[in-house]
Amino acid sequence: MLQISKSINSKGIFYNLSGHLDMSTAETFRRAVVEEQCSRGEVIHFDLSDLVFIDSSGIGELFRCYWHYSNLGIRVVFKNTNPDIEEVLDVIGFREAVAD
Amino acid sequence: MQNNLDYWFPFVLVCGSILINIPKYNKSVVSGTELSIQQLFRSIKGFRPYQHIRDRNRFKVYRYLIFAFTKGKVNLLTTNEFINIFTQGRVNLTLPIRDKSDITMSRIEIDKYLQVFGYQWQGKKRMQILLCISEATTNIIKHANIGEIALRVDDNKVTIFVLDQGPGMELEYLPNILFHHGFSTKDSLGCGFSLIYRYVDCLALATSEKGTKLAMDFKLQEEK
Repeated sequence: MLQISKSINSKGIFYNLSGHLDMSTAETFRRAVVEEQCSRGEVIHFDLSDLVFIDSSGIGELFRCYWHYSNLGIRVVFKNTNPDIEEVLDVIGFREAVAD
Repeated sequence: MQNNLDYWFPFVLVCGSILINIPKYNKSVVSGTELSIQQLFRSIKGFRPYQHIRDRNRFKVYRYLIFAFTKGKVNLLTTNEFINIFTQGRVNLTLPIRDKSDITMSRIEIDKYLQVFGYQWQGKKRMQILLCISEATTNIIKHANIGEIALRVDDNKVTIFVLDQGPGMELEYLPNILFHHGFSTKDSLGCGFSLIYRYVDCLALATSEKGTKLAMDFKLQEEK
């Protein structure tokens, strides 16, 4: 339902999410991402473009992840080119809340 | 029990009035102050005369206000009124919601079902309906543990019924739950109902201590 692929290079850690991010897949996301060991000053990039669905529970998980790493001094960037996903992010106020 | 109390209420009222006029009882419950009829009845635990009439009137006020405020988009119904709507027509698909995985599965099943129905089931409208389904079924898991979702397709309208047997919603919280983006009684973003309200064409809602029932209407355009 939710696939997460990870790559690391000199610019930071890159996660590509595909599938469905909702209450049933939130645990998968949390386990894969929030338990990541990062150090201060690093950047984590999330690409949401391949998600086919996200709801408020899924966005809640993105918020938690953002706050968790921001409190540790780690920058989190969310990239998305999917208009359906972008609409939900906008309506819930995610973009406004995580704007740099 | 409540009806029995209502039956005896006039009798208790008369007795109470007589007792209050006897100096011996006048200062008995609230020491040092005069005992009013209201104080006497309040001192009887659980005694709420005509409570069901007050509840019915309170329900009517909420129903009219929510209907007017939403310009007819949200209808607050009694459980019996809701059951009448639910049983009026044929249901095309029913799916149980028993655990978290059913949130995704029910959404995928309904998506597949509507793809072959001959309507413009794509783009924004499709995503908005799937989002409402997801928010409503997530509420089942959060607040009621189990429930079911049913689908009815009539002409160019899709109705999604979401039914649970949870503790229901307090009438006082309803305006906040529906219209206050970010209001939640649980640890969540509190956007579920406000998203449903945003995207639905018409919403019928019945809630009581026996559960919450939603009927979400969405208009679809015919395929050209």
